[in-house]
Amino acid sequence: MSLNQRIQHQAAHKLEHALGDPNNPDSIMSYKRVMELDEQESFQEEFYQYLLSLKTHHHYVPAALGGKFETYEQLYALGKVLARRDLSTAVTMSTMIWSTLVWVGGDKILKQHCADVTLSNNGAQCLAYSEEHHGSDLLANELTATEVEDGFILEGEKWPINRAARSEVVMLLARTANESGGRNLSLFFVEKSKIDCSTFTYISKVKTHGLRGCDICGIKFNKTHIPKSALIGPIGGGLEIAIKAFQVTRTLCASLSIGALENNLRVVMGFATQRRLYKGNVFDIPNARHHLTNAFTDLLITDALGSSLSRALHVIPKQFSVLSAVAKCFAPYKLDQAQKDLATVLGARFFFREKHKEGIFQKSLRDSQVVSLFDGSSEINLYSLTTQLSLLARRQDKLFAITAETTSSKLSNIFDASTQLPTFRGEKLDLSSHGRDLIMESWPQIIAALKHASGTLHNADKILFLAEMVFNKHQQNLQRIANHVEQKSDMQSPRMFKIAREYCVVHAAVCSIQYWLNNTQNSDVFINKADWLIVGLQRLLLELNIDIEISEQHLTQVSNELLHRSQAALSYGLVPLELPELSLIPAEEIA
Amino acid sequence: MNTVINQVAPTLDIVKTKASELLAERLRIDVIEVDMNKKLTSYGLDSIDAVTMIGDLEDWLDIELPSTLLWDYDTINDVAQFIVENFESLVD
Repeated sequence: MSLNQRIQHQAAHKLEHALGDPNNPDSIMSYKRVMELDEQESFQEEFYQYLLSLKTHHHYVPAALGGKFETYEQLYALGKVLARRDLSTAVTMSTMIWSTLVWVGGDKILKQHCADVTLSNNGAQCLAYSEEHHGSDLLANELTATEVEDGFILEGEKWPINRAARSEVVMLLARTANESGGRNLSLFFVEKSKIDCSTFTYISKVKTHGLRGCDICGIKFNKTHIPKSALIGPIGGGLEIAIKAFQVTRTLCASLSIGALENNLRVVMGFATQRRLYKGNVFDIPNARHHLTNAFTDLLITDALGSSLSRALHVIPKQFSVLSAVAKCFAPYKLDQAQKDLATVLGARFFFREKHKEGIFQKSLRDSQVVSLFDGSSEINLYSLTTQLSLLARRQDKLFAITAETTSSKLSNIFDASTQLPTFRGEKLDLSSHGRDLIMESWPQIIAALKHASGTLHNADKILFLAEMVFNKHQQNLQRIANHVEQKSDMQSPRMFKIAREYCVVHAAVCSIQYWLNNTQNSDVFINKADWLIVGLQRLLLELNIDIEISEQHLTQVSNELLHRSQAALSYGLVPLELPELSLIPAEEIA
Repeated sequence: MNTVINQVAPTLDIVKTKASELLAERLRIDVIEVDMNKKLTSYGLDSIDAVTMIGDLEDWLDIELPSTLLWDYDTINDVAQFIVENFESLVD
């Protein structure tokens, strides 16, 4: 069975076709209607209601509790589809993911209740962590939940909160102790319909650069009584559960960045193949083709990272203090840059709020920039990585010194997309990976596998050459970390931030190579021939300040595939799905 | 974490001394300034620092500690006591 027929892609494929061709103004989420709502800064109510009618929200509730959730790989695939259509709608729908707080920290009764509420058509959720004066500094939060005999009394406000007004459930982080420390916060499942509505008000919507239709506002509680049953986990457990849930949501953020790029790459390919210039079309111009090919490659590499890590949540949840930060730092950073490069190909039209595809490019570009800020900004995630680098480096240094090959069945379970994933166990998430990163530890196994594959797998020798360069750079960085620790230098220095970013880049290389090695039986010819991987590794090496020339033939193969997928209406990810768009072959006059 | 055969529990004093050194190092203060009975949060140790310091202790002792240990045991004395009392179960 090919990968695109497998269960993890079925819901995404169905949703694509239920949403129809975005070029057709009669489709429910046409470019035309998406842009109209954005121009009006109107909430996407009609899209949201349609998604509810398709039971999309059921995918956020575990099957054991009556929903359709089986794996994060499925949710990741759905996230890409929604983000491709309209990031505002994707972000509105994906607030359902905050039920994760209950799956991770709630007791049996609350879990079933949360499932029932989420599955109802009125169970929309919002995450209320942020306060105006404290940003990411959650421990400084001021909103209090004071325990009383029959529950808690809430006092204070949260801002800015996505869906604060348009939600039934507020997943609320509140101070329950006056002392400082990691145990002064608790989490609550606050159902608005069950509390006195005269005791809370909304703070008006914020004007935003992107996501202009989203309900981004605030909520203010004034002596609001909530029952004891609203508490998620133990008193003082709020920060721990909050950070653990972030490990899931930060990983899935990659799907939003990929979906946004998937849309804009298709939009620009439409322009590049139809726009007549200099006796040819834009795609014939080498530098334009170069940008398009690079964007396609970056999407594939990021998809390798995102899909592998969404699988890894089921296999090595204990290591996600590292892996979620890697996903969150790499995907938005890499793909925002790709979008900016695409803008140069689109020329003046990148700036238009109408004409080519209704001006959707600039909307998608604006919207996608916010992904790097979700769930703790990229900088916060890089900071988190810097605090873990010394332990990671010590362990990997030891392993690599003895060239220990990691032959874990867990690795093949993560990367071989045809293998069944174990049930996700949220209780296994941990605030520290304790120095473990099984994926990065697999470098010796990768090098050995590539040497073994040389002569049997297409292009394996070239990939081995590039992989060894990445691995050498990684080992140099491990040494730099060790030196930094030995000299008792500041682990949060700009130099360590740079190394943390490079750690993410190296991770993307590992995931891409492992994906290729583990899926040769199930992938199509293009993925198996690995030209994309050669171009991708060359681009990752550039980010590591190593400039390697590769044969033009690899770029040609990738650009040919990009053209083929664009014309055949196939998605650009590692597993190409048939899209409902019409073929791009008929030329149209572009204003 | 590698399995350590016949790993012997360190004494309370050794753990307290090492934990004080690590705290001083992290906060860039003189180890003499560390009071083993003073709450760690009163030194300005933030939540991430606390998790990181656990990593330092793990690396030194070659054991795995609960990530939230410094949230739940908030003086050097209490942390050291926990480690010594639970050492056998903490060795992989």
